[in-house]
This record gives sequence, C-alpha cells and structure tokens, in this order.
Amino acid sequence: MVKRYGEQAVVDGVSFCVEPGALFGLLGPNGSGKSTTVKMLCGLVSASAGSACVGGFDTRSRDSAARRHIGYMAQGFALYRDLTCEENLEFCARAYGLSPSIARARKREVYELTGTGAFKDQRAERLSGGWQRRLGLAAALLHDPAVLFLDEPTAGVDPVARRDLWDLFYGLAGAGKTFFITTHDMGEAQRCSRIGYILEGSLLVCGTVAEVRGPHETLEDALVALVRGMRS
Amino acid sequence: MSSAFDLTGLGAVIYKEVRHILREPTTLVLILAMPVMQLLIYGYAINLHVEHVATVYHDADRGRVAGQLVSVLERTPTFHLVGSVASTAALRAALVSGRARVGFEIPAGFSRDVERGRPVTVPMLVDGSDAAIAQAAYGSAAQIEGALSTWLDPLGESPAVEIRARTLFNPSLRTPNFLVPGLIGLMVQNITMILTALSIVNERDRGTLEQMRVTPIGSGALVLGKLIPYGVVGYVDLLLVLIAMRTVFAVPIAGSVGLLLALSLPFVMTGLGLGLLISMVARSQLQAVVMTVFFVMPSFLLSGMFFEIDLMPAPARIISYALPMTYFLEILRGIIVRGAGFADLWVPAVVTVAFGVGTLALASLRFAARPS
Repeated sequence: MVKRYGEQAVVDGVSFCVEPGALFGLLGPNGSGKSTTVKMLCGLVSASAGSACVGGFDTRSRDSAARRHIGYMAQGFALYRDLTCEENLEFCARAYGLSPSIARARKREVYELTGTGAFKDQRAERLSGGWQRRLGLAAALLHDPAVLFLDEPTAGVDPVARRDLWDLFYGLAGAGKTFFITTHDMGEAQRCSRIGYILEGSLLVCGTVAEVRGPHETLEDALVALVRGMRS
Repeated sequence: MSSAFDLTGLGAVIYKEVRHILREPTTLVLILAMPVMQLLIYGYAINLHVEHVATVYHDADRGRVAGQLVSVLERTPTFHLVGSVASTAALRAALVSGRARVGFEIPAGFSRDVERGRPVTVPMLVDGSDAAIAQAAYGSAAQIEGALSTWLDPLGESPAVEIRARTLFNPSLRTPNFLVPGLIGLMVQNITMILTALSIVNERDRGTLEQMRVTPIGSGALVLGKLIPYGVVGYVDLLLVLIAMRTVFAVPIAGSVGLLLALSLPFVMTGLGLGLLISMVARSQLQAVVMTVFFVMPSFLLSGMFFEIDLMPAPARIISYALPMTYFLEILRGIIVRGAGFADLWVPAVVTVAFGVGTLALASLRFAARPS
C-alpha cells in the first residue's frame, strides 16, 4: 500500500501478511506511518496505490460485513466522554445492529474481560487513562470482531495497567482473535508473535522477534544496525 | 505567591498568542476582513429614510382628477406604484400577500365630486406590520392633498380632497407585533445552525467521528441521526418562542398556525444544512463560531427585519435575496401579522422549501462523500 499527501509518501509501498490468531506488532517512531497504515486497513483512509485484504474483505469495500469483521481502537480516547460506560457500549451495540439480548450478553462478557463493569454507570471522562483504554477495548470487542486494530493501545498507561492489557491481548489471541497493534515501544514489540518495523513510510523488516533480532543481542541493537545500514 | 499584578512572562504569553493568530490564515482573514466587509455592507445597506414604498391603487373612477391623483402618487418619493388592481378586494389582497404596503382606493364619482366642489375622501390602506413604513405613508397624506389641490385650484380655493389613512393588520403600530415574529425566525435559524456545526466539529476534534466511520453506520444514517435530534430541538424552540410571543408579548397570530408550523419545517432544515456545511469547512470550533456569526449578522440586518430591502443598494439587495431568513420573515410576518394564507405566500414558501431541501441535500451529499 502507498499513501501520498501531495508529493509526500506517508506510507511508501508497505506489504506484509498477518496470520489469523497472530499478535502482530507494527513498530516505528512517531510519524513513521503506523497510524496511516492502520487507517488504510480499517477503510478510514483510501490508499493512493495498492490494496489490502482483511479477513477476506478488500479494505476499499464499504460493505457492512467487512466493518463487522474488524474492531478499531484509535490512538487516544475516542469514545464519548460525557456518556457513561454503559451508554457508550449501548451506542456501539446499536451501531453494529446487535439485538438487545445479544447486546446484553456481549456487554456482560466485555465488562468481565476488561474489568470495566464496576464503572458502568460512571461517565467516561471520570475514568483514569488506563481504564479509558480498557473501555475503548471493550467497545472495540463488543461486536466480537475477528480482527482487532489497536493504535498505540497502551500509550500513557501506567505499567500495571499496561501489563493487564497485554495479558488481555494474549488471552484473546489465544482464543483466536487476530491483533494488529502499533507501538513505538521496543519492550512492547517483543511481546508480539510477529513484528514489522516501519520508518519514514517504509517497512524495513518483518518477521518473528527472533528473526528480526538475528545475531544481535537485543531487538534495539538489531534495529539500530538496520537503520544505520540503510542510511549509509 | 502569584498575584493579579504579577506580570512576569507577559511578553511570552503575547508572543505565543500572536503566533496562534498568525498560524491559521483562514481565521486571520475572517477576523480581519469580516469587520471591514460588514461595516461596508451594513453602512451602505441600512437606510432609515423610507422611500419607494410598494403601492397599488384601485381606480373605480377613471376620470380626469383620478388620473391626476395617480400622477401625483407617481411623483411622491415615498411611494412606488407597483400596479393598479381591479377591485377593493384585490387591493386588500395585495397588502395581505405583501406585494404592496400601501393601497389607494379612488372611489367611483371621485372626479365629478371634486369638480363640483364636494368634499371627497380617498381611503389609503396602510400595512401596519412595519411601523416605519406606516408612519412614512401617514406623513405623505398631507403632501398628496396639497399637490392635488394646487393642480385643481392654483388660486388657493382648495376643494376638500382628504386622504384618509386606515391601518391594516397592526393598527396600533405595536413594535412587538412587527419585531417579534422576525426574531423568532432568527432564534430558530441560529440555534439549529450553531448546534449542528459545533456538534460535528466537536466529534471530529475528539476522534469519535472517525471511530463511528469504522462501524457499519451508513453515511446517510450518520447525517440523519445527527440532524433529526437537533431538528426536533429547533422545532421545540420554535414552539416555545411562539408561545412566549403569544403570552408575554401578546402578539396575536392572525393566520393559520398549522401553515406556520408546516412552513417552519423547511426553514429548520435550512438551519441544519447550513450547520452541516459550516462543520465541513471549519477546522476548529472557533472557526465554526466565527462562520455562524458571519451568517447571523446579515440575517439580522439584511433580511428586511428592520430595513426595507428595496431601499438597499444592489450588492446588499443581492445578499438579502440570497438569505433564507428573508423569505421566512415574509412567511412569519405574513401569517402572524397579516393573516396571509398559502395562496398569498406561495413564492416565499417555495423558496423556503427549496432552501431547506437544497441545503440539506448538498450538505449531506458532501458530508457522505468526504473521507474522514
């Protein structure tokens, strides 16, 4: 996929494959094209060239079945701050056309998974950053999508909440959900089953953590060597 | 401890505020050009001197003196003869429909009676829904009488021709009867436009609009789902201000309330559509507010609410006729003050419906076509 704004290519010929049930991490610094890649995969931004397929659906399709197939959690909190957790989830349930009985069951399930049930009648703006991220995840999970796109899901979250969130991702991936997570944190990237490193819109490397690390001692060393090699 | 008089860092704050102002060229142009542009438009457009009031007459006499009276009317700057009508009923209808503000009824036998030196009365019907126009018409009555008697009897033996003014619709010339109906339109337009624009800009700023676009919610559903609640709010507002007009200001509704409510619907739709269009152009809440003000001011000053459109210079008149408020004001004053029906108001009604459907359709299509 390529995404150009004017002359500038923000994403420049990125190509990769993610297996079902994988926890794929797209690693890269701020402004490297991670969010744009996620947005193209979610159909929010149209690609200038190339195409992508998510769960068998072309991302250019505006088909509602394609939308039901994915869950998306934006960078930063993108739910309604003045609504309660319950109202936010009710809105999501209606947006995905869940029947009232299924909606009730799914809400119960995601409350339990994310631990947000205790705050269901609280306004979202009252939650701490970590709990807001959990609520965001609950909303993304509500319609039981097969693929989850999480854009920097743990940014600004305390270490305990971060650990809890990752445990949650593992559990869900173990249950068959596919995760596509962006991060700029090396430590976080190492928790993924596969990673890709994107810099200035180009995907420099893609593989398991061991493959990317290669002969180097740490993942960071490997990426430093890679970038230096590319620049020289 | 910091006090109100501690000015440490004043330069830093001013520096960064100036950078903010200079950073957004659109906002800069709006805040610098808008006051100058508005001053020029309103300075030229607003004319408190009433002239060229649309006038019709019914000549049941067709005699020599009647012809002279018509020519006196033609020469009187206060009036602008827009036509003659065939009956007393048609004269009244022209005033009800708003086609004319003043009507002269020249009775049968007028010329004969004047020539025989008998006292004659010429009724002048005046639309009292606009007090300034009514006052100007009253003021011209003596002028017409004078001009006619000079022609009839240059020696000064004046025959008794009396122009007898009769005010229709708002005989006591109460200001609320004239002003409040117009204000109602403004309130409804402003509230629907501002609510819609800010609500969408706010969603975009917070990222919730993008989040919504990932869901199966269709573009049409998104637009309508946003607009219907605000449309209902606008409509409830309309009902509340109508009730306040009726109870607090004691302004009676002379025409059909049903027709008024029916024709308010496309006007509410126009407000919603404008809000939606503003939300697409504005890049921040500040810009959205500035743009709504840009629309509110001319709706207030150029729609004919206070100043006659016919007296405005051409550029201002063009703006007037491009404003939805101008047509809705016609409807409001027509129904509330003059008791006009659909047959009288079909032109502003058709324009208002066209504005409502057109603005909303254009805004919805553009909104749906826009990538996030």
